[in-house]
Amino acid sequence: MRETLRAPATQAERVEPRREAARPRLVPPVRLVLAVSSLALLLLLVLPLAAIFIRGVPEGALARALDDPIVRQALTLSLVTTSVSMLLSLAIGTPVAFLLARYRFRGHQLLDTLVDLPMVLPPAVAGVALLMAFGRRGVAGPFLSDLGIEIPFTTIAVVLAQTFVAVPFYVRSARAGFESVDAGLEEVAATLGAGSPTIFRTVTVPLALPALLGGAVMAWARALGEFGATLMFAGNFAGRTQTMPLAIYQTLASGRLDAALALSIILVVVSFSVLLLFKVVVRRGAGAAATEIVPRA
Amino acid sequence: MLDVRVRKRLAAFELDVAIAAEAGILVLFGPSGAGKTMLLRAIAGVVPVDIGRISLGDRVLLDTERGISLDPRQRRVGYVPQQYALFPHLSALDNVAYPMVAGRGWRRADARGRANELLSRVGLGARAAARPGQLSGGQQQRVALARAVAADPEVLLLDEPLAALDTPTRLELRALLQVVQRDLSVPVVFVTHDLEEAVTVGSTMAVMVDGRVRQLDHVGRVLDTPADRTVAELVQARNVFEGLAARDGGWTSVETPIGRLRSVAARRDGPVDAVVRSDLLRLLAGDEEPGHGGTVLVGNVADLIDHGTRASAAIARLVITRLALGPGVQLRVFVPESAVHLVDPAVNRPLVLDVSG
Repeated sequence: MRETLRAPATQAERVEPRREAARPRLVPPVRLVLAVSSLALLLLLVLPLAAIFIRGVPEGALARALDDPIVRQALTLSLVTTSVSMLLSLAIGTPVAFLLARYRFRGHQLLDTLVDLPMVLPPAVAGVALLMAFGRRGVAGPFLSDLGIEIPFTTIAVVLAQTFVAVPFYVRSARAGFESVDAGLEEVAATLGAGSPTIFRTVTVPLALPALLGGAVMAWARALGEFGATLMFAGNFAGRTQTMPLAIYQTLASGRLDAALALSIILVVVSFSVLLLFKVVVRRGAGAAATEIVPRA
Repeated sequence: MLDVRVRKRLAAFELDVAIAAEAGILVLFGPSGAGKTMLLRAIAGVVPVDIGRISLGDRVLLDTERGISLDPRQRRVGYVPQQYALFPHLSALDNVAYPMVAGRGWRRADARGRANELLSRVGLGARAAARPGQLSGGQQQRVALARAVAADPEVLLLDEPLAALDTPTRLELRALLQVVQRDLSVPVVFVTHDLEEAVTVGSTMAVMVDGRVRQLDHVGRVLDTPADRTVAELVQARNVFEGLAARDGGWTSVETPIGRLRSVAARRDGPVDAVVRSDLLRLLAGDEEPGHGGTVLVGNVADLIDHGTRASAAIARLVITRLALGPGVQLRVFVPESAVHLVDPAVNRPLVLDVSG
């Protein structure tokens, strides 16, 4: 999944002439195995998605769903919170990714592992952990209460839960992006008179951009799908904490299959559109007219 | 004027260098792994040194004693690393504009105007919009050179700038480099491991081995009178013979395996290595009389290599090239005393004298 989101032309590929890999001829048994497993994967991934559309919804159900204020609230909330979570991931993830990519220090390995942890942590555990941290009886809860800040079961909790599970995806990708930037280019930029912030902005970020954007989209997608941690830490309040996945769950749980289907279709369409848009943007960026980018002092 | 004295402990040896360069091209010549690149990087300020002082004109770039070490961005060095390090995401024009915009704070339009001029000067005016990936190696090097110049440097540091280029491109770039040097009239430190490049590019040469400069002198002087055995080998003085020197009137004569040679070298006694410059040797035709002040050696051609316009012959116990030569032919060679240079002895001497025309 991560691979498919990679920008088509990383820097190394652009500089190095493309090498034709010598591919071994496939003998028939191998071909059969490859064909069968590819088909199985295709069925597993595509069938359920297709089924949503094949099973279909009654005439007008989609329009009714989009008209439903509860659905509208859920969709809006999802789009707003995931955008905020993604920006938050960028803000706190970028420096960490740069640190991990460029410096070796005591605790490097530890920080690296910690950052990855939410990816393997069950979302339910993340929900409990967040409650224990920011809940009324959590570690930081009383302190926040004294300041008049209540986080659990608010929209802020939704954003925190989403960021918690999403930020590792961004950091991983951004770190790989920063590592792929030739440090020699930054050195030369320094000898040419550029200061560190300028070098970061005019050399490092542009060269790591495909990986940064890819990571941001992955983080956004992960935030959009966030369910477990949100349910436990933020609850399921329409208009406040009920994001699309929670709305789908509630609709299905209350026996309204058609409505749940309609919501799912909306979510699939939104996700697909964003992914497609991202790929187009990255491809454009990679082949953009050369004269477009001049660093600003 | 660039003045460098640095020491830096490395894994295999200690970089311990003192060099000075006036406006002009100083060639830093030595085998791979001698520390040449490290020295350039230390001057550029992208790697730290243990102890040292570097000054450029009246500016002190580094003085460990006084705790001074300018950032690379403040040093005003035009550093071009081996692979040019062009920014792959910027056009040739914007690469050249970079130091003016990002470093000197020029307005974009002004920087691009000046960058266009510089690109034209290196013959790339028509390729301003191309990305580095779309340019050939020689073109990339031109862009890198223009970019370094755009930073208004007080010294140019070029790491193997002509390596990895084909011969015609190398010749063009060498000429361009000399023009750029004249226009800027700043010192240029030119790193190379290629002897031909080293002797043709600049007039002064520093021979670097294992982190130290063994000899810093005019190119001709290094070739004629290498400071030691290692330098002699690096500058391909192949005719090096172990010998025993003794004063002989106003000269020194050396007893070597190929015969007794007379040298203009300062009078000395004891074991030495005699370095014989092949270009000063003279083949004697028939029973031609040799001139004065030299030695005549006689031997048989052991091997002959035809280089086209010139030939070199390795002669057992002797040297020479020319005419109807072939293995087995007897030759007489005149070795003028000015061709014999004496250095401190080392091990592993060849017993074959090599003459190339």
